[in-house]
Amino acid sequence: MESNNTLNEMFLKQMFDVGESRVKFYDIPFVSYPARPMAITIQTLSKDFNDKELFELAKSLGSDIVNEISSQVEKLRKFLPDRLKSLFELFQICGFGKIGSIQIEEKSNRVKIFVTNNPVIDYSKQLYGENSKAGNFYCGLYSGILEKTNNLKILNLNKFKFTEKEYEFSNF
Amino acid sequence: MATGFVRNLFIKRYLVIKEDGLTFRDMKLNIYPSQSFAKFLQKIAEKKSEEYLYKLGFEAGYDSSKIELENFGILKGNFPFKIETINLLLQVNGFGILDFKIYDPKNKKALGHITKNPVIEDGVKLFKSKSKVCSFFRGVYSAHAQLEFNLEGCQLTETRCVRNKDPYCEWSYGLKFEK
Repeated sequence: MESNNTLNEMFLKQMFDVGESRVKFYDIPFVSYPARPMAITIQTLSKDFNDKELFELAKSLGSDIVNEISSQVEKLRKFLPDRLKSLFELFQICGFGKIGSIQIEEKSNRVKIFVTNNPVIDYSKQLYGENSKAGNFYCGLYSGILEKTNNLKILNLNKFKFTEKEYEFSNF
Repeated sequence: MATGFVRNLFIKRYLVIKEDGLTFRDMKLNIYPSQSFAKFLQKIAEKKSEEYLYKLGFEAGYDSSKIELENFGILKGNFPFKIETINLLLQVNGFGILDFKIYDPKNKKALGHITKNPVIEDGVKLFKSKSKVCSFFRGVYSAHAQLEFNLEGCQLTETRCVRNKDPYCEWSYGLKFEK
């Protein structure tokens, strides 16, 4: 095990309920989707859904994920003093990337986030290069997640930049 | 069937948390809470069609299956517990339990019951008889059947479904049923 923190340890101990043949985080069953096929799925969806539709589809997914997981994290509050940090650690374990830094200008509603270790984006870049649509999808997913976790009114991240090691998403 | 003990060993050995998330051996995984994923699939099917969702599942299953074959070379062979092992991999991934009632790759015939797929179950809870999410997994299983279960050209068709209050989803290939 390379990651070593309280939540990850708890997560690993509790997550896999082999008795019922399903991956679980406490009461929530999970389904896994290998990252490479997910990159392929996003690219296929992008041919049949326009950018706005793909963004909205991913945003709803992000928002639903926060709703579903956060109630469980809430129940574990006494073990997890920093709820937000715990949620982001969980998202990293889920394979949504490590959200490293979040810059929020509340007055102007400007948001910029920096993400690393997102295997779906990595595969998508490898497979589709500049035509990759994973950036658009994750603009939506992160918008849905951050709107909920950071109580932002409306967040539509619509710009992304990929460098070798880091992905930058922003709405300005 | 693999016992709980064997299953435990298998899972503990291969499931690891790394910087970019959970990995199963060298397979990098995205994991989604089942209800959110059911809603995601339902939206896709409502916008397009169940057939579209089936094709999406097939495409994803085909690539997943190729990765499994790359990572678990043993699956290429014809060893006695091959079906159980593939089944175990599918179960660990949260795709439910497949119980073959007919498995005849020589004559290209198969019939299986799927139970305990959390996304299908949540789909039925959320959307009742209008749930379309099983089509995605029928596609996933069709791809695995072609590549790993040696059922050449397999495209599974639905003969029973939990959304119609059947106790399981029943998918078949190469069999004719009276309507």
